[in-house]
Amino acid sequence: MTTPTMEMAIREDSLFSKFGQWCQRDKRGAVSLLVLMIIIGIAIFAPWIAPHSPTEQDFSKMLMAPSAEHWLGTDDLGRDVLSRLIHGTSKSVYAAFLAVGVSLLIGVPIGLLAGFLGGWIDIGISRVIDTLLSFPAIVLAVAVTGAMGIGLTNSMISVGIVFSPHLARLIRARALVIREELYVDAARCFGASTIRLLVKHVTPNAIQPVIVQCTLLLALALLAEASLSFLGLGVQPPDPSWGQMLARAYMYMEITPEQMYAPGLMIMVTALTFNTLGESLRVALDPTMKGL
Amino acid sequence: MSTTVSQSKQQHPQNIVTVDNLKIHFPLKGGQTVKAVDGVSFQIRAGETLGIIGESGSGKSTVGRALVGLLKPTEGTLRYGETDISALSAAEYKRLRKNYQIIFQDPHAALNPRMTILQSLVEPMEIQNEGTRESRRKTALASLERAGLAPEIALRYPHELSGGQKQRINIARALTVHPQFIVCDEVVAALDVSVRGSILNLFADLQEELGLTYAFITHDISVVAHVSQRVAVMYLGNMMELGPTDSVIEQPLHPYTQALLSAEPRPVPSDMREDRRIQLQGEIPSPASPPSGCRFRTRCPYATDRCKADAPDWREVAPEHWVSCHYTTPSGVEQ
Repeated sequence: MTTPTMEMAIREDSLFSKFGQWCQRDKRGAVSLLVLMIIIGIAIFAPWIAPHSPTEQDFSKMLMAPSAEHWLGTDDLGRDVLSRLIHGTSKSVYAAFLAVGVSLLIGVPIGLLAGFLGGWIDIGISRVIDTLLSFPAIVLAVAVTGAMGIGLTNSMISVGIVFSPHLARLIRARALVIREELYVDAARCFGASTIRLLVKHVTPNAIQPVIVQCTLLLALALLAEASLSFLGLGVQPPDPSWGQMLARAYMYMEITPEQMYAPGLMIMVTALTFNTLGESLRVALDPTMKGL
Repeated sequence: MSTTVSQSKQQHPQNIVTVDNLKIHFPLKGGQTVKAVDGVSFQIRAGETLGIIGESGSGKSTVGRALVGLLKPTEGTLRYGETDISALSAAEYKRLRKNYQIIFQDPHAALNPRMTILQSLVEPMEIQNEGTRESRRKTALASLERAGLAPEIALRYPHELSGGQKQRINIARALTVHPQFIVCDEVVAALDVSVRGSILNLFADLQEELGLTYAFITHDISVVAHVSQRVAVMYLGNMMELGPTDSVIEQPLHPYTQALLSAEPRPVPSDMREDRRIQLQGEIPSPASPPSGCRFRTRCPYATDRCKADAPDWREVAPEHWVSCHYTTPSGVEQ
């Protein structure tokens, strides 16, 4: 039968060496992973990095231009913009991941079931999805937040709920195709349960467009957080978040226009990082793309 | 008691699959139904190869998928050995069905593109909860070797392999759970001519070594004549003829089989042939609205009013040789 040398020949690479190979192959992906690590690092270590308190007000130094003491100036209540930016990182990143996590948790199983089982279940779920998609997203999110109570967590859960029909519809369309695939029939012949078919065969083959959509949604969630905080439904003052800082800077645009750049830039860089990382993840998870 | 059982077994070799009046209908939009398979009865005996031939739309692949439980019969029964599978609990059926496997026409589509070959090979044993992680891996590699592939291939992905290799992997995957019966659904049709022979030989070797039973579905008469002991001919969801391969090929009794066999190319100039090629008129009718009476009557050169009025019985015209035609006698068609 199989000799020891054959066993040797098919030993799989360790996860660590696989990761090393991936960094070599996908340099852009490795860089965006590094940037994401830095952003998460800033979020975790904010109290030690920030030069000032993010909430301490100094009414003698309101709306100051950047200086040696306040690198990015001060806002309308005399708070240090750089410190608020650093402390806002954790709120914004938390908000984005929470919203997308909730939409994945709701959207993916529902879409999988609708697409894979079909019939009346599919018809019912699809009508509900269509109904939800016909509402303007922000209005719906405001309504759901209103029902659940204001605050960052509740408002981002409602953003997640509002996003979930997009993911459900996307994965339903893929599941609809994949349930007809021969490899699903083959697994069925060996006695595979519906759960196993969904987890082992349908999901891995259907998830690709969902990953790409998620990276777009992460960026959208950052902006949704800004909008909801602007309306007073998200982050509650005096806590900072990028979106809320951007909204506040917008009000004083004519006096200190430069204060919009910092939070705007952070939102852009983070969104861009999510996008490139999502693309890299998509390629890394697709065995047919190896070596391209 | 035990002696009578063994005696009856000797008289009738044990049937591994028994199909009785199987019907598979698919509903269409607008209330119509496609009668893909419409009342088919036959047995498959342990250790034999039953060839099933027919043109596209004859329902032969539908029968094959029903044999392994991928399609639910609209009517009729399917028995594995003595067990009616519709009477089994989900858990009992799961244990039993692993003995009844299928190899598909398209070897690439039958493998999950995101699983390595090794992952695909151990999956059947994972599903059936057999062995440990290590023993499953061992069985998978042994099975791969049995199918004529090097173990190094185990860590590759399907898209990195050739069609012939992928078909061998499908065979190896089925072998990991030690089936008794395999439906071979056009298994070589998608392969290069150069590798067809070696795959067919692999099937023959496995049958000899492991005592497998095959249902060999194909439209290629030369393949059927080569591999099977008995052959069934299907047309428009019905079985037209079933008998030992030699007698069906040498002396076909049903008009459809005669036409089908005369269409097979032969290395003899047409002027020098003893018999004439029978040219069928028209197309195969739609299975949504099949003809009344005999399914074949619209294209049959012998068709009469009786064929229009009554569907012919499934008769044993000669020993072991079943035909569905009003006018067939042991020596041919007579009116």
